[in-house]
Amino acid sequence: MKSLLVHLEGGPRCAARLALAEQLASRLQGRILALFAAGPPLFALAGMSGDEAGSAQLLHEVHAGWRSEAVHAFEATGRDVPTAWAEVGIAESPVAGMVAQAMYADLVVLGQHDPDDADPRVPADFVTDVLLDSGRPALVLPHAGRHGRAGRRVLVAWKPNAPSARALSAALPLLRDAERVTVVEWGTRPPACRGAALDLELYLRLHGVQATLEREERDPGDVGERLLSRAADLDADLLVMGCYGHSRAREWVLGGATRTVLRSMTLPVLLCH
Amino acid sequence: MRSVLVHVDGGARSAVRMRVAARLAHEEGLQLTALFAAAPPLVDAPFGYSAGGMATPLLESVYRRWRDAAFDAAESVSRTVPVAWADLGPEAPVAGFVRQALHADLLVLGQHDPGEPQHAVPAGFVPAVLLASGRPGLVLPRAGPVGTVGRRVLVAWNRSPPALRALSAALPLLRHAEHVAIEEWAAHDDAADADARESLDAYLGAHGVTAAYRRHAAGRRPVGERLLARAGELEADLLVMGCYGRPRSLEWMLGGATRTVLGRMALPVLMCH
Repeated sequence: MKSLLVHLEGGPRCAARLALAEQLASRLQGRILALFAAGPPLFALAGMSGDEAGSAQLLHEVHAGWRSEAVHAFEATGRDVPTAWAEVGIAESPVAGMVAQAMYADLVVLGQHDPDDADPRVPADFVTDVLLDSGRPALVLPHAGRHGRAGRRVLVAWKPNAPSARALSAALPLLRDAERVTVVEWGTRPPACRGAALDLELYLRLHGVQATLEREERDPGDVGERLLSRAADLDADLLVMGCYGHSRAREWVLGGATRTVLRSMTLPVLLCH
Repeated sequence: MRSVLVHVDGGARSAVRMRVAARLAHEEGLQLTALFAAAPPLVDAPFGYSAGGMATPLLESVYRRWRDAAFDAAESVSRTVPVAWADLGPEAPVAGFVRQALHADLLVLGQHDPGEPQHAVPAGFVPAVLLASGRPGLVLPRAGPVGTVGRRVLVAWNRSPPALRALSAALPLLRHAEHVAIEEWAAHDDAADADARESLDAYLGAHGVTAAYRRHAAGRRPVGERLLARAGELEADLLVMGCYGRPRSLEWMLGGATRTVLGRMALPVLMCH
């Protein structure tokens, strides 16, 4: 996991996001690319008259203000790992800009959407769109609480499908030196294959990961809630899971568990579509 | 990459797949598993269903013959590297193979040969496995000797997640390559291109790979054909590309280039969805 792409929008959560990214990059001997990407500040226009030049000027000023907050947070980071700065211009879509950079990153670091944020700087679907459009692994940090560490005690949610496999593969560098890894497999045990069948236990062992494997046979209803609850029981500081969604009429429709977790996460979550 | 899973089915090409996989496993220190997956040939049996009880021993004997041939192919490389043997049994081959594939880092599969009188697996086996598992697969051509794999490489690039995943999976091979060409076939705009080009160079550089980049203008001839023609021009021994498809009722609907390449490839192709 060599390159971490960290989203910055200015605002109070950037410092913590950068700090966590730096910690992970240091642990993995990687480097950080901080990317400032924020949407047009439409809220600045609320109540304004139709003076176009004036509105455009205001937009630029507000955007510039956000940018300097992001620069400030970036410049305050330590120099334990190589860091670089990039930005998406005011005229570009923050999602498109983020996705274009994410293509080359091993891990994207994002902040969970906060529906009660009085000063939103990116669209509400920013995290969802980046996850699903880029198909890259992303670490999403909860908007509430302090999350100074991630990846010491890990819960992995496993289902036998491609997104789950991608999320697990992406997380391997973190799992290898975690204190404790618990993998929960959902669904009934699959039919046995004769001979030297490949399974999760072998996969993890080959990749140098020690883990406890558990199985949940019954469908508990809301899998997302169940996962968050299990994570709390285990005092986990990282949840790893596949990100499920399909596109419908140019928008993404999320799977239930993914939607629940993105909405209610209480710990950092590493997802991959 | 720690493990490679080879599909063996009792056909003549199983031995070729095993040899290529064994060489790779030996060079990269990978765990090697041969998985026998075949569907009893109900349609091809001379009596089909009409013979009632008579058909069954016939089908069983064909199936056993395949399995024995597959086992011989697997064993033929066991002096080079240890080979683990697994057998799906009567389970439907695509679903069963995918389940195992999710726990492997690289698959080795064989291009479908419509000329063969009996097919152990359906014609759509390879794309179905690649699309459902999301794992990278090295697909070997249905005919002809396979010499080196990865000495002269053509990476077909289009800035999409599957292409990135295929490139990422190919990195261990690319590092040993004598020549790597990474080429695009599309119309683009110069400013965006320069950025994308820089990011790609940085990505490859960070992973210790030097590649020669080239963009071809979008033309009218189908991209799949152009890819294969270019691979021929470059005397490539490996083509790396994304695998594209979407689920549609009972089958996968493949992207045009994916379908063309899987139908007409004459060199090994590393694909990933």
